[in-house]
Amino acid sequence: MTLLQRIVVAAMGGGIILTTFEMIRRRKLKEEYSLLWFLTGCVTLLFSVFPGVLYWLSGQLHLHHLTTMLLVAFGFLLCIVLHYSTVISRLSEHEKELAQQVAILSWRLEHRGISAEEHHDPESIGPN
Amino acid sequence: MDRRTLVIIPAYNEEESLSCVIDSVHASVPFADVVVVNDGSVDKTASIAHAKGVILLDLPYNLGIGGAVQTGYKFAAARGYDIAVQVDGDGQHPAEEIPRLLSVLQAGQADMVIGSRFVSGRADYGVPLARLVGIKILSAVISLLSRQRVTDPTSGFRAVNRNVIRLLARMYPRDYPEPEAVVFLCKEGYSIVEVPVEMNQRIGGVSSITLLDGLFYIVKVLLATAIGMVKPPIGPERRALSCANNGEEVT
Repeated sequence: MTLLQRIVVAAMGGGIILTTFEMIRRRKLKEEYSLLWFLTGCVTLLFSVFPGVLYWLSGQLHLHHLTTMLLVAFGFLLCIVLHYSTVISRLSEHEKELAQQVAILSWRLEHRGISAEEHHDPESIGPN
Repeated sequence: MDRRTLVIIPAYNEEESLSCVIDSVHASVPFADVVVVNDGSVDKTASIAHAKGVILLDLPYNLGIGGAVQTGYKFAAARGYDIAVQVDGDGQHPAEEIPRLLSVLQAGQADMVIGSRFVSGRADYGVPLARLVGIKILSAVISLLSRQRVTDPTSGFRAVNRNVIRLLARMYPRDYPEPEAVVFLCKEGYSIVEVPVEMNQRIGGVSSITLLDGLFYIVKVLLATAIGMVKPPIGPERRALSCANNGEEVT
């Protein structure tokens, strides 16, 4: 890699790490979602500081070293997107549970008086 | 009737048919409680249910049929019902057949009873050919996977016992839930029996599945059921985020 290439790659890696750190500091990003970003930044930085690692990897894969960079970056992005998919799945499950609870609880709220007479166990809905 | 029965009617924009459905359910099973789960309708569904004096569970926004039906199961589990019956709000399920589903269930012949359009070979109820083919394919695959003969896995006309209520309150597929639920229950070791019913043409509204969606539906359901077969069994009941658990203490 030329010096300029190394500087650009170092700036990218440093930029990712600093941006992630700053966003956590401003409470815009939770730590648990930042790990993959930090890892991406660190590997990018590693390639810039120790280009030998990149050359070795490129040799193993029979690729040009910049292509290897792209491949690694793509791999990280895939991981990040996959991680977000699991987060979204979890959130949508929680969101469904909440909506269902709201429906049941609001019925219960409206029928507080009646349900005690009609049903033998008025306390049977939901954790209090 | 000493067993407490709950009829669950999921309804999304069913103002044209809901009133009829509730009336015929009341007429067929007067001893049962009726709950309408309003799945974020934008029409008069909620006010009709309210006027009819049934239990109305109003979801704050549209969850889809699976989420709506599960709300009913959660309600049933929390209040300790012994039997839950699922009847669509569009009027295609004949409420007068509910007692037949119940008698099979109460005889202890199965944990879930499905009202099937096809079990007796009467396939001429007016199912469009494309959908008929789709249902047949699903039926074959699901029967194979579940090792039980299921002729109408897409039928949402079902009755389940207490154990199944509690299970479905915890875990119920969301998007196209009927076939998945069948496979899921079989896998958890519950037995399923079908009872022949003749279904009506829907009174109003449109089916939630259009012809264009059909292919996508089949692929998705097959994928979901296949994956469902290799999912690990669900763990012990959690307390967090579920109101269903309290059903245990009701007995």
